[in-house]
Amino acid sequence: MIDDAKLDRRIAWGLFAAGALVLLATEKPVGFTRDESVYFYAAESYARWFQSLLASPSEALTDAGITRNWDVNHEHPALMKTLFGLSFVLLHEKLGLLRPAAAFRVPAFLVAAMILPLVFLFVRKLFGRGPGIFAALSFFLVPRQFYNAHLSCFDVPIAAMWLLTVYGFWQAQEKPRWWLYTGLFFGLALGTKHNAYFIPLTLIPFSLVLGWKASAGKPVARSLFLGVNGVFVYGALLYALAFVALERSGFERTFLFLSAQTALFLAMVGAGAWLLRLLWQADQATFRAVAPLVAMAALGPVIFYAHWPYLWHHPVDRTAWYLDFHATHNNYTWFYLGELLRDPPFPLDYVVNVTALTVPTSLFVPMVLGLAWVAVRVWKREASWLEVLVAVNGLVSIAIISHPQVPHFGGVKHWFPSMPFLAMLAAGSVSRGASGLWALLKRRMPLMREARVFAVLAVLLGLPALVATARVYEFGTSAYSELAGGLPGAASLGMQRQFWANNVTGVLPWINANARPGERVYLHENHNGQVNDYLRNGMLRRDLRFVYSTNEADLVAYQYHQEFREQEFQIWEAFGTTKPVTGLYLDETPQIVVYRRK
Amino acid sequence: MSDTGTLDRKTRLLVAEGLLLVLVALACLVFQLTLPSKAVADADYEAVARLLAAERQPGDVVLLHPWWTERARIFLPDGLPVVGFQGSDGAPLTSAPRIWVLDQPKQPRAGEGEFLTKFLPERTQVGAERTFGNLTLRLFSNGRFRPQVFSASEALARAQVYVESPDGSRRACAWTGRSWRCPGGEVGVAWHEEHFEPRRCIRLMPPGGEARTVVELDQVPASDVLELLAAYTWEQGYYRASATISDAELGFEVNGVTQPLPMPAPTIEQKRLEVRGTPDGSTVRVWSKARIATARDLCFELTGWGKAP
Repeated sequence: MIDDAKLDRRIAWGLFAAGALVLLATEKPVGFTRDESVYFYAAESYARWFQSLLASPSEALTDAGITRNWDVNHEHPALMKTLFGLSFVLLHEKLGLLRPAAAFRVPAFLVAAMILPLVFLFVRKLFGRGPGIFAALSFFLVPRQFYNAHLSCFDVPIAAMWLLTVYGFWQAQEKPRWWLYTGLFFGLALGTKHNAYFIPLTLIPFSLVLGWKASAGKPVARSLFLGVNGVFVYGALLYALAFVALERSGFERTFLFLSAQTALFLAMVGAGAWLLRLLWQADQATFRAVAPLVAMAALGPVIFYAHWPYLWHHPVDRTAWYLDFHATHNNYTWFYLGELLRDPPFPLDYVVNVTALTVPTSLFVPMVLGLAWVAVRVWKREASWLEVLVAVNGLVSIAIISHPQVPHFGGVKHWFPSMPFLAMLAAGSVSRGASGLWALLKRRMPLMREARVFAVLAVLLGLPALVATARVYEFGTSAYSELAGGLPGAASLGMQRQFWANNVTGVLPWINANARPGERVYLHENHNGQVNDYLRNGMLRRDLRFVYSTNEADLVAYQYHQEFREQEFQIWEAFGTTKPVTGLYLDETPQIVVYRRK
Repeated sequence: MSDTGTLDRKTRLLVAEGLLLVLVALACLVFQLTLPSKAVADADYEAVARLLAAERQPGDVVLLHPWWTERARIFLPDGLPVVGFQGSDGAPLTSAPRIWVLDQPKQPRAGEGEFLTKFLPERTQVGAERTFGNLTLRLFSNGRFRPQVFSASEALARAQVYVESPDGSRRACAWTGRSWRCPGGEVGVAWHEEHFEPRRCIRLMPPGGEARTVVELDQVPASDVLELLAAYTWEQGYYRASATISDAELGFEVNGVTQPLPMPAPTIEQKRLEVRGTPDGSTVRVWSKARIATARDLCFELTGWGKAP
C-alpha cells in the first residue's frame, strides 16, 4: 500500500510523461507557423554560439561574437529558443533520433507537459485527486491549447512558467526553500516571455495579506515585514525618480555596471536579504509570506540577465529596446463578429467572448461555474487564500488583454496563462456537480460511490472536447467551440478563420502529388523560413520553385483571412479564374484555397 | 441531506450544478458527433454541377448560403457566376434574372430564417427544391433584375481617360491594350475587394493635389437608371485621415450636371449614386481627386439599367 503523497507524486510524474509523449506522438501533422520558423532559425543560431563557445571561448564572449549569433530575434528572451537549439543539435544532428522540427520542439513538449502535474497538484489540494487528474487532462483537451503545446513558441511555455511560479509561491507558504525556488521560477518565466512581468502583480497582494496576518500580534515580525516591503517600495520609488529626473535616454545611458542604478539594486537586494534573515529568525510564517517576493525581485533580474548573452555587454539599452518593442507592438488585423478590428480601442468583451467561442463548451461552463463559486465564497468570506489565488490568476491575463488599448491579435494564446487556473476551477465545479448527482443517485442506488459518479461526469465532459481536439488540433488556430457552432458556426458569426499560416500543411500532399515538375508555387503568407523548414523536414518536393507573389506563380495556396481577400481576388485576376483546384476545407469552411494559373 | 430524505438547499444547488454539467456535456457530445455528418460529399457537388450545366440560362447566378460555403466553386460549371461573401444574402444581383440558391441548411448557425428575410423580397421560387445529400438547390426568379444597357467596364477601351488640372488643362493617359496608364496609376478593370465583396470594377487612382483623374464616356445609351457604385479597395477604406492619408472625392457628371461623392477617410462601405432617365447619347464623366493620393485606391462601376421587364 503506497501512501497518499507517494501516489500523488506517481500520478504527477505519470501525467508529465504521458503529456510529453502524446505531444511527441502527435507533432508531425502540425505545420510551422510564421513565428515558429523564425524561432527555429534563432534557436539554431544560438546553439551554434554554444558550439563556438567551446571551440573559441574568448572570441565567442565578445559582443561581436555574441551578436553574430544572438542578434536574430532579440524581440524575445532566449530561454526557450536556447533549449530548442540545443535539443536540435543533440536529438537531430548528433543522435539522429528525430526529424529537425521534432528535435526543436522537444523542449516545448517537456515544458508544456509540466502544466499537467502542476495543475494536478494544485487541484489535489483544493478538490481532491480525481478532480486533479480531470483538471490536468482538460488543459490538453482544449484544441487551441493542445495545438500550441506542440510549437516551438513561447505561449504555452509562459503559461507553464507562470503556473510554476505561482505553484512555488504556494509551496513556499508550507515548505522550506521553496521561497528560493519561487525566485528561480520567476527568473525562468522572465526568460520565457514578457507576460512574466505581470506575475508579481498577482502575488504581491497575497504576500502582503499573508504577511500582515502572520505578523499580527508579533511586533518584531510586523516591523521586519514592513521593513522588507519598505526597502523594495523605497527602491522602486528611487528608480522612478531617477527615470523622471534623467529621462529615459539618460537613465539608460548612465545605467552601467558601476553606476548608481546598479548600486541601488544591490542595496535593495542586500537590505532586503538582511531584513529577511532577521525575519526568518523572528517568525517563520511571516518570512514565508514575503520571502518568495524578495527572491523574485533578487533572482528574477539576475537570471534574466544571465540567461541571455545578448544582454551581457549592453544589459540596459537592450532590455529597454526589448520592453519598448512589446510596449509599442503594432496591431494585426483581426476578424471579430463580422468586423475587421484594425486599431484600438478594441471591444472590451473580446477576450471573454473569444474564450467562450473557442474553449470547448463542456469545459468552459464548469470554468464559469468554478469562478462563480469562488466569487460567492469570497462574498461569504469563506474562500481560502489558495482558492482566491487560483481565481485571480485565472482572471488576470484575461483582464490585461481585455484592455481596449492592448493589441488583440494572436487568438487566445496571449491569455493562455489564465487557462490552467481556469481548468482548476472547472475541476471544482465538476467535483461539486458529481457530489450533487451522487446525493441524488444514492437514494436509489445506495452502493453507488461518489468517485464513480465523478469519473462518469468527468469523462462525459471531456469526451466532446477530446473529439474536437482529435479532429482539428493540427489546425488549432481554426478551432471553435460548440457555443460558436464549431468552425461552420464561427464562420457564420464572422470570426477569424485562422492565423499564423500553418494550415498550409493541409494541401501540401496535394501539391506534392499534383504540381508539375519545377512548377512555380506560392504558399501565401508563408515566408522563406517556413518554406525551407517544409523542405528540410521532407514535407515538400525539392524540384518545385517557390516564389513569393501571385504574379510569379503558377500555383497559389491562398490562406483565407478576411483581411486578405483582396489578395485572393488578385489571384482571380492574375490567373483568369475564380475556380480553385483544391483546398483545405475544415467542416466545409475554406482555410487554404489552391488556384492554378490557366 | 435531511433525515427525511429530502435534499437540503446546499445539496439541491450541487444537484443543479451536476445536472447542468450533464446536459451541457450531452449537448456538446451530440454536436461533436453529428458535425461530420453535415459535410458535403464531392459526389453531391458534382450532381449539382451536372444539373446546373443542363438547366442554366444566360444571366443565371449561384448564390451560396451560408455565404462562406465556397468549396462549391471547385465543382460548379465554368462561366456560371458564384456569389458568396459576408453580406451576400441581401445582394440585389441586379443583372441576374434567375438565382440558384445553393444551400447547406444543416450547418450550425446557418440562420435559414435570417437568410430568407434578406433574400426573399422580390424573389419567387421557381419549381421545387432539390436535395443532394446535405445540399439543397432552389431556383428563384429575381424581381430585382434589370436589363443592363450599359457598362463602363465594357466601354472603358473607347473612353477618354485623362488627368485634369484645376485650370482645365488635360494630360491624356495612354491605353496599354488592357488599361489606361495615368500619372496616379493604371485605370483598368479588375477584381477588387470592396468591404468583403468581390467586384469587377474600374480602378481609379487620384493623381494627388488638386488635379483629378477623369474617365469620360460619350454616346452612353439611354437608361432608366444610371448607377454609380464606388468604394475604396481592400483595406484602404479603413485608413483614417492623417498626415499621410487624406480624404478623397469622386465626381459623377451626366450631361454637365455634377454630383459629388465624398469619400472621407475612413469609409468602409460601398457608396452609390444614381441618375434616373438619362437620354441616349449622354456624356458621362467620373473623376477622382485626393490631396494626398497615397492609399486612395478607388474603384467604381458605372452601369446603365433598363426598365424592369
